[in-house]
Amino acid sequence: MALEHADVYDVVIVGLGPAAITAAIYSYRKRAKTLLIGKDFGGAVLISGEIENWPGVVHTDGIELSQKFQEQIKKYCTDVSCFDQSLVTKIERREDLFRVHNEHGRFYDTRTVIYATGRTPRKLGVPGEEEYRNKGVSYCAVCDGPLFGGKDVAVIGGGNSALEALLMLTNIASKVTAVNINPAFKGDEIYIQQLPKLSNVEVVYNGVTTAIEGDGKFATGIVLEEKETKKKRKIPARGIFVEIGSLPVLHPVKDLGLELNTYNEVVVNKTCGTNIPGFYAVGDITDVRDKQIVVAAGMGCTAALSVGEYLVKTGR
Amino acid sequence: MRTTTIYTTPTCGYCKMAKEFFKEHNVVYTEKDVAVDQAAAEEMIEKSGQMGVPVTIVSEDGKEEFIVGFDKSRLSSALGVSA
Repeated sequence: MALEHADVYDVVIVGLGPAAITAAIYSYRKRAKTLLIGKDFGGAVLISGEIENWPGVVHTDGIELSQKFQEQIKKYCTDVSCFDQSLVTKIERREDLFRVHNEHGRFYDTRTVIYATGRTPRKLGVPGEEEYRNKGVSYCAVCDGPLFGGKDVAVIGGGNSALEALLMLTNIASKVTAVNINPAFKGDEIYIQQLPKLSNVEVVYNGVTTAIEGDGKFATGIVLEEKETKKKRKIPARGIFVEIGSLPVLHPVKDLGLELNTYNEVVVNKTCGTNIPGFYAVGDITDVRDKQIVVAAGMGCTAALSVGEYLVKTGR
Repeated sequence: MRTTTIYTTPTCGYCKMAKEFFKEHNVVYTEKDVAVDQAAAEEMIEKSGQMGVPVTIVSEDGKEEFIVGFDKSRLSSALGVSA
């Protein structure tokens, strides 16, 4: 069955984070036939906590910024023809178009896709981790930290997310043990400089977490091993915050034949194009060096403009 | 009579979405901030057997339904509203 012209979108934008939102704003304003499809406004921004590096705004937080994204989209799109709040489960090629399937069995055909699905938290992969997920083990200090007032907690990780988590938790928990697999933190100096001033924070460097322990109902602590000496140590903790990075969300496109780098990120060129004509990728899902809100937004803009050029070139 | 209680923390985006969902559907609810209310925190953990927020408890005729997270379809069916 030949696909009717009227049924086909110019662009389907997958995701609801800053990259997708910016791409959508540009697309709606260009009057391209646009569908924005994603689950949670803000994406990773929603669980970001305090934000002080979004240009033009001295201080905001993830919830507030996500809400502003939503308000801006509502200005341009007020019905289901341009917005679907569902998850995308699969994207496939159909002749010279793309077919985007949502979790409810609906699909959309489109000339181009802007893929902005971002990442999910990386897991430790140690015993006890799955058993105690949401029972002490958390991948979001911003979300779950406040529940651990007056308790001992552990933060596992060596980058900015771990630093932000422990700086938040130092004001909530009674004791914070930070377990860093490396000899030093890799993050913003403005965070690292605060560490020595925190009286209830102990940092264990060169520590590898080998297990999460619990009492059958909730987590009670972690077991770690010192990298050099292999000496084992048990740290009591009711809250265990795993902040060790993230993995790209790729399952919807696994059969498309997208070029990925060694980290399984989508390889993009300067105009956000991929190895598949008409398929663009933006934000944290790509091999862009800097996984930052403002970079994602910039890529969203670039991709929307690339889509505009592509549609003209391919005779829309 | 149906009562709705939601356990939240101030920094939780999904908690905010759940409350907006309640407002949109004129659902009367009680909010317990588990970041400041230690007793409510323990109550939530005890009743739901886990520590994630939000937790919504819809009680009716002595029966309680627990919804962890912002699950629109489960909340809709528990509250008798359209998603």
